[in-house]
Amino acid sequence: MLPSLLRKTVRDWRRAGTVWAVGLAGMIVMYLSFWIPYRDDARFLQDATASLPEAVNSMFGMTDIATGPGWLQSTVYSIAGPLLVGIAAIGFGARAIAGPEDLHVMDLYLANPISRRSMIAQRAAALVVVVGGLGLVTWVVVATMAPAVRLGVGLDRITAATVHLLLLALFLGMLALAAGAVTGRRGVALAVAGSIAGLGYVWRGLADSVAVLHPWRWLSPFQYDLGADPLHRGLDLGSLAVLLIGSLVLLAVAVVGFDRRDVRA
Amino acid sequence: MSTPVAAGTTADAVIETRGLTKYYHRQRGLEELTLSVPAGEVFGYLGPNGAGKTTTIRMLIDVIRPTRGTVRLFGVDPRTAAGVACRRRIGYLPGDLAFEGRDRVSTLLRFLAESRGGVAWHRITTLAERFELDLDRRIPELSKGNRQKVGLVQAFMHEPELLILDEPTSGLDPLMQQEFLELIRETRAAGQTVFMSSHLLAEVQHAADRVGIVREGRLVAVERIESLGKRAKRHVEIHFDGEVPVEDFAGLPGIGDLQVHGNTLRCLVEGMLDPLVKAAARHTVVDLISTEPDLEETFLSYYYAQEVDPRVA
Repeated sequence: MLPSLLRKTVRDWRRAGTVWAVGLAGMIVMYLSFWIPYRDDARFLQDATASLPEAVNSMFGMTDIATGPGWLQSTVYSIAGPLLVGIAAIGFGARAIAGPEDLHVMDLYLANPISRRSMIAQRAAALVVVVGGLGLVTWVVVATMAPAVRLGVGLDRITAATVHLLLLALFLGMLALAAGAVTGRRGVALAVAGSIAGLGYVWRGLADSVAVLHPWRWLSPFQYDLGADPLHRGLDLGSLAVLLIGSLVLLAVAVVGFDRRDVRA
Repeated sequence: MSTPVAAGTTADAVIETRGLTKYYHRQRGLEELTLSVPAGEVFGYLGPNGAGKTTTIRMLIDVIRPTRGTVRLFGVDPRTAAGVACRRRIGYLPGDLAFEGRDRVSTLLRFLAESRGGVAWHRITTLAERFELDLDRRIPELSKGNRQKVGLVQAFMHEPELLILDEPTSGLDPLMQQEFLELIRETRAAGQTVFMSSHLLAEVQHAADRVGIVREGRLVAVERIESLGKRAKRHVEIHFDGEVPVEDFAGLPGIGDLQVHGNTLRCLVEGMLDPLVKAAARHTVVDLISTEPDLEETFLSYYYAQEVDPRVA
């Protein structure tokens, strides 16, 4: 049986998680339905993107928007996915440790035989469960819609893009969890993770097209998802390793930071 | 006279602190608390708001860390892995009680019970009935009083060896406060140890064995309730069947504010009633009314009157 706090946390987050899942599924269905009118006459899309600056096209992955994979990339995996799954992950990450402290319920949790390390482990596990659920929703909806609207993208590539998206979102969630564990403040956790995510998104887009910034692309977490372009190139294990190791480092920061400080009154 | 605060180590001490000090940045939270609570004792921890009661309690369960000094619960440091395991033996009621989520009360209690290795369900229902708590209500719908009842049920449900209760009666109506004090008496009879804070002595005087007073971050006095009673002042009124001479009562040990009007005598007695009763017995007593000693008044007048050297604490 799963540890009690993990089950309680998943139960507490289920409601918000469902709202995110419904919104995410709706947005994906909407975007992919829009492909239908363009499918057989893509000139409009080509003309539209040709008139935009290269940096904009690069930022939103619109370089080959007139193709099926390009459409999927520029809508679901460059916009809807990072935006919704990323924001949800940051939200749950900020709630993981800083949430109970803001609500003054942390004392009650820690008065049980639950160590601070176990507290973080169980909350982080709940984050993985909930964000993993959103990843699964993404995968299922895209995998069902793709053949229906004839995107011409294989299941392996959909899986690769979703795995990259999932690990990126987990990294952002862990960032919020760690910021919350170190400071005990949900607002700070949201601000730190939110601004790193926002800046990281813009940075990757700029660095992709501005030559001077090009060597610094690696600074953005999005480089390891959008930059790796898994939809066209398949899984990039190096990038996945960076996101995974980054998440584990953030988890370690959370454990050390939380263990050393006073719980806020 | 005050009994010096017990500073020695007791072999079976459940709570033991030495020189426990907490500063929040530069601000004082608690200074040099050395205290030992033996197994089976009910200890009332008294002081005005902001005196350091909650600071002490939060250090006992390791949510905040001492600036200096040590804490031992059941002989182990709460910060260690053994200390974490020990929390199964503790029932804790936070002073600032809150819950997370939209669970029903029963689901929340089940979660807390599982976290402590399981609790017989009938323990929970018995306590809930006692405090008239509806287990089917959802957490966000609970009133302040009902939240406090949930807090009490979770603190007592696993029959912990040690109860740490921060302002346990806050938010409870008088009837439930009585029920709580009754529960404390049963707990004590069962040999459990209780450390409870309050800002009112009246609240703990019927349940506690000893009381300690904290003021501005320092433990200024620790007293047994009985010895406090011995020093207590009480108003006494005696009705005789005829007039009595004042001289018969004036100058008796411990008598003050003596007034005799016709058949009625009124005075303030400190300590034992014996000299007054013996003197009154020479006349025919119709009625004797003695008020309950006000320990709070006694205690406070005592500790404000003498500037107790905090070093003894």
